[in-house]
Amino acid sequence: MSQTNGTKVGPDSSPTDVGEVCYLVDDDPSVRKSISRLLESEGFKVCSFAEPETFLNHLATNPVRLVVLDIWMEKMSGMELLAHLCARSPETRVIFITGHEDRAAEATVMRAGASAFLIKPLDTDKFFAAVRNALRQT
Amino acid sequence: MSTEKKRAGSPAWIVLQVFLTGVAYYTATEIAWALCFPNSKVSLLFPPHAVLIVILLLAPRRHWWAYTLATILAHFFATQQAHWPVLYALHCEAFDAVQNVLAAAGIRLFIKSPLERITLRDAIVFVLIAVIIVPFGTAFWGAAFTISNGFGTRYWVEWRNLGVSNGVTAVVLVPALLLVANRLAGGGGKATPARIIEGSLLALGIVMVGTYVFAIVPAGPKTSPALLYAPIPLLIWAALRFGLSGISAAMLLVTFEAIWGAMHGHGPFLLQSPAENALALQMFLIVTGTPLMFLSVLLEDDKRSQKALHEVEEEARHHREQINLLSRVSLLGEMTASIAHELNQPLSAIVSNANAGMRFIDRGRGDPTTLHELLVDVATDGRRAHDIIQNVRNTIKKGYSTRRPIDLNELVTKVAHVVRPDAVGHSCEVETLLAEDLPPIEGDPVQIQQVLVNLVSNAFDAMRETPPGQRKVEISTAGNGDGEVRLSVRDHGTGIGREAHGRLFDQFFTTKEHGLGMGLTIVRSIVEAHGGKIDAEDVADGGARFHFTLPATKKT
Repeated sequence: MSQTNGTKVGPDSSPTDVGEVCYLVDDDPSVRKSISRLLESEGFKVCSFAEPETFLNHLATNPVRLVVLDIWMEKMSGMELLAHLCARSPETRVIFITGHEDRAAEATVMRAGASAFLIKPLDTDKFFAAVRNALRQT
Repeated sequence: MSTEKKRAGSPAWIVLQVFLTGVAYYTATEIAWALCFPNSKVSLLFPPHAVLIVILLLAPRRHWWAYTLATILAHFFATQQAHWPVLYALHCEAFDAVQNVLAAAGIRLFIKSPLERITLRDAIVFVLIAVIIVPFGTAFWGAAFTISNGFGTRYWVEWRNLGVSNGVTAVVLVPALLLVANRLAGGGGKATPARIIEGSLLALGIVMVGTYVFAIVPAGPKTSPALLYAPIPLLIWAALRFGLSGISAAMLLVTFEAIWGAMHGHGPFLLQSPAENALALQMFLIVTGTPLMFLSVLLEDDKRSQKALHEVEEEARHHREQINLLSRVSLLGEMTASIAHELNQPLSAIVSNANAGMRFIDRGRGDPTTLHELLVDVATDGRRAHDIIQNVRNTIKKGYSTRRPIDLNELVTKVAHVVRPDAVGHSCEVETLLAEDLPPIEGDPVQIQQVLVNLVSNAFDAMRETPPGQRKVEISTAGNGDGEVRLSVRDHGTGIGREAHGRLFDQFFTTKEHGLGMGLTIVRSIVEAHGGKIDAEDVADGGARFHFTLPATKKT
């Protein structure tokens, strides 16, 4: 089950050894659930978070190869989270998802080392291509 | 229209009008003589005076001499037919002309309102000039030459007769003739069938009562003088329901009935002397006609005031509706980013869920439970998208501004959420500082929300030059304990500047490259329409603060 507002510390679903684990941070429950399903339909394991802080706590003890981040979140924007990731876990690949085209934001995050910048609703082929590409980089 | 104007100003038309004035004056003189009591020189009413006064009131001043001359000639012609001594007749002409010109000049000098907009003051001035000052003032002269020519013996009786006769003429005939002329010139409104029926019933009533009182009841010591007042209820009816036109027409009718009765020995007149009967009748006409004229004018004035008030209210309502519509349209514009973001979330979820479902089926992993769950989520997100659109429609749709109690703290929290996407887009932080125990205000939530969204949006724009880490907007609420609630929006931008400060709320004033300069104008209109005030100032340690106060709802 998805967690919200940090009332529960920890991942939505525990990573398993079967399949690659993709992390997902998005504060919208519907989007989080649907993208989790999409990744699962392709055989990935998904560990999703509603709050960036909870994800950062998890990151402290768990290696993360790939995370899909929403750029607009209530408590901490995706860009701020990227800054933390660059500092704490530079090997983690980041795919940004956003509701609308934003060339300036795209340029900023790509310069900061993000793997991809995708617009919601996600184009499935482009999304999985980006996911595989990001995993290959790790 | 232009043809009419040309005709009205042409010399031939003026000459014709002057000639017709002479004819009218001659006819009116004959009527006046016919209205004399048998075996008496006392004329109850002198219509020619009313004819000249009305014509002078309507004609341009530069033509007065021509109209006056025409009436002098007409009257002289009539007097010569009646074999009046020439000198006496000429003296009469001079007296009448001076009297009527004085009355017309006085009325023109002191009464500026058009006939449709006569006020109580105008009516009082009219009575003072045309009924009292001019008739009784000139009567000193008139009585003197009447006596000197051997047509009377008692100076004060002649003075009184002349004054009263001309006073009655002014009360009864001048307003009536003026209104007829105005009606002929196309003035006045169209009567509805109901008004025509009511007017006809009133006229019938006056004729019937008048016939009984002035044509059936014989004059004499046994007749009660109280009968003279029998038409008064009908005259009041005329004044109340038909205004100045109504009372003028009704008075005219009663006057002619009464004169006819008095001349033929009918009516509630105790005394047999024609002079005494005439005086009683004249006093009755003045005493009844004057207050009823005041009453009708007062009522019409009140009606006009109410109409004007209604028009002002209507205009204010129209203005409020425009603000309402503008604020909603403006709010829609400023909420676009927020609406797009809100709507995009469920739509993205629907697309991702649908794609996931297809993939599960394609890979043979589409178990009914998973697919059922997935479809439930799709339906839920579809409804969520619908609710968002519905909410936007409800917020924006054109409708009357509805006022209700608003918790400003709640509204600030809502706005902070609404502007969040915009804040992220501008890399700005939004901080809310909410006062405890804030009293509610009474207002239109959409409009107040618009004010706040606009101020916050301006604050974002003002911080373009500010380093991203310092871009902060503080929205604070406070109750100032004086029955007002204060709301401030503070930014850390470049400030307002002295030049812009005075023009901030002006229409079409903008410092933005693509701004229309309407935002703050609408904002001020909304705040003022809610009984509040808005102002802005530069903050000492950088940035600007916009603040507005609104009256708090009184505790009951």
